[in-house]
Amino acid sequence: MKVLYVVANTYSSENVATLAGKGIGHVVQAYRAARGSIKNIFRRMPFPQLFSRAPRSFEAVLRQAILTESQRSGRNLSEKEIDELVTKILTLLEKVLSGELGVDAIPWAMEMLRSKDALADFVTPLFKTAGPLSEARVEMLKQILAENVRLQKEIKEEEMAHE
Amino acid sequence: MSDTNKTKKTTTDSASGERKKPTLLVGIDLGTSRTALAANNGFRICISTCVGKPKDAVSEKLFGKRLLFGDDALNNRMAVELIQPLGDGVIDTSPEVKEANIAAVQALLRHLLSQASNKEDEVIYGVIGMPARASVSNKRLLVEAMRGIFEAVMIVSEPFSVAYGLDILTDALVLDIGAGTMDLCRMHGSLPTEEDQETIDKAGNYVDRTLYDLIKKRYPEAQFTINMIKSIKERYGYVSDKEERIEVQFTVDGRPRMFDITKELKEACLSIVPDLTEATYKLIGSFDPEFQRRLRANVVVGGGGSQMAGLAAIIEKSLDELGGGAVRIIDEPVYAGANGALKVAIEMPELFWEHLKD
Repeated sequence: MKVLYVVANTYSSENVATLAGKGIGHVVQAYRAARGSIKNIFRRMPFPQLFSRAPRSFEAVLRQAILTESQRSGRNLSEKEIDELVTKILTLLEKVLSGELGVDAIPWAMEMLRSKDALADFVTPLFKTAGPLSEARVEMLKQILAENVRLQKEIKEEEMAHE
Repeated sequence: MSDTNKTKKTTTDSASGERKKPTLLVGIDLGTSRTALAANNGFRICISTCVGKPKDAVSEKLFGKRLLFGDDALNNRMAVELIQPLGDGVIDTSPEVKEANIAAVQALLRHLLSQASNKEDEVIYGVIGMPARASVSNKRLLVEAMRGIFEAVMIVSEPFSVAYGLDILTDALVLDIGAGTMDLCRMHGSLPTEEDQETIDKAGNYVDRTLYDLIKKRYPEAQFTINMIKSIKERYGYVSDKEERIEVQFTVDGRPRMFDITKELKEACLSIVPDLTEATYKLIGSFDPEFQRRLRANVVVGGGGSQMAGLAAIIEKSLDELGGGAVRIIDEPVYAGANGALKVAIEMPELFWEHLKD
């Protein structure tokens, strides 16, 4: 998965540009494509430059990469688990390209896929929550923020009192 | 979807149109014994929480640096002034060492971040885990110490960050067994309050000291240090009823000899279990009775101390008194806190971080 081709159709060109500059070992190229959902374009798109003998879709490349990682790390994911992971990654990419999610998730996720324990502890939860945050989760983050803002306020007040 | 949900991590400032600096998000488990860091660029590291200052000009020349970190410092402790800045999970603020400890924590985190970040102009946002019941003054001290190191920093409770990272936000009891403290936190779908958490100042270091004393008592002639004892505990620590003997090599007047420490090791490892059980009972017993069963059925144990063989079984057995329960040890105990803190950092909308900038 050295090259990730990103198809930009009606999606935010800003995000595509950001992706292009992001890769950790990935060269990201943005292409303007015709109509169709991003997922379908991924599925149809051939990768002759990378896999010259048998052009394959992005989904197939992804599936093979996960399978390899799964075997290498000893996780031996079932076909169903791999299907789920592929769907989650495609959904994640779709969301990033539509601007719904931050681009930071991409290189990190890809890097984690390569690490030994990625599938066990990191990647699966990441993709599980790759969609928009639930309102409950946002509330939780808001409360964490509020506690920390309060802490900082106290520090500043104390500093001002000392001055 | 709320507006907050739509907040993007873009690289341009929509208001000014200027290009923003690249952002690195990190999660840190700043522990008494070890510090783990995970970053959103895939980098992660775990080192001993200690800093070594070369004792004199000779050792400084020998090492070719002014400070040594982690295991590098530990392995050269004869030639450095070794600073272990945390005690009971927080910066040790004893008057004679406070300033040196703060400086050591700052240097340690700068060192870790310099490895995580390879871009000079990178803006770093960090989430740091602290003991569940760390005092406000301890939290303040850490936040103040992090000024100039992070663009913005947040503190979260350590067991909460473990739970957040594993996506266990409801119906669970998280036990995080560290070196300085054991932290417990019940998760019930909202941010845990003080009543939901317990911190016990008796953890891995206590086991080390107990084991040290027990071996010293039985084999007064044996030569060993607390660091050797810690390594032995990490390698062989157990609380189960296993049959095999555990023999380790110490020296006596410089000559190597084998010593049987099977009984002492188990006794030392078991020494923290009563407090852990008591705190577990307290958090379950004070919970809404309709939901206690769910809590008991989902007890999750992390932290370095969770690696003692047989711990899950012994906690599970203790839950029989409350009607039974299920206990599991998480897969990656050393990084679980940092992973969770990183997840908080990643999911925290950019806008939220702005509130914490100076």
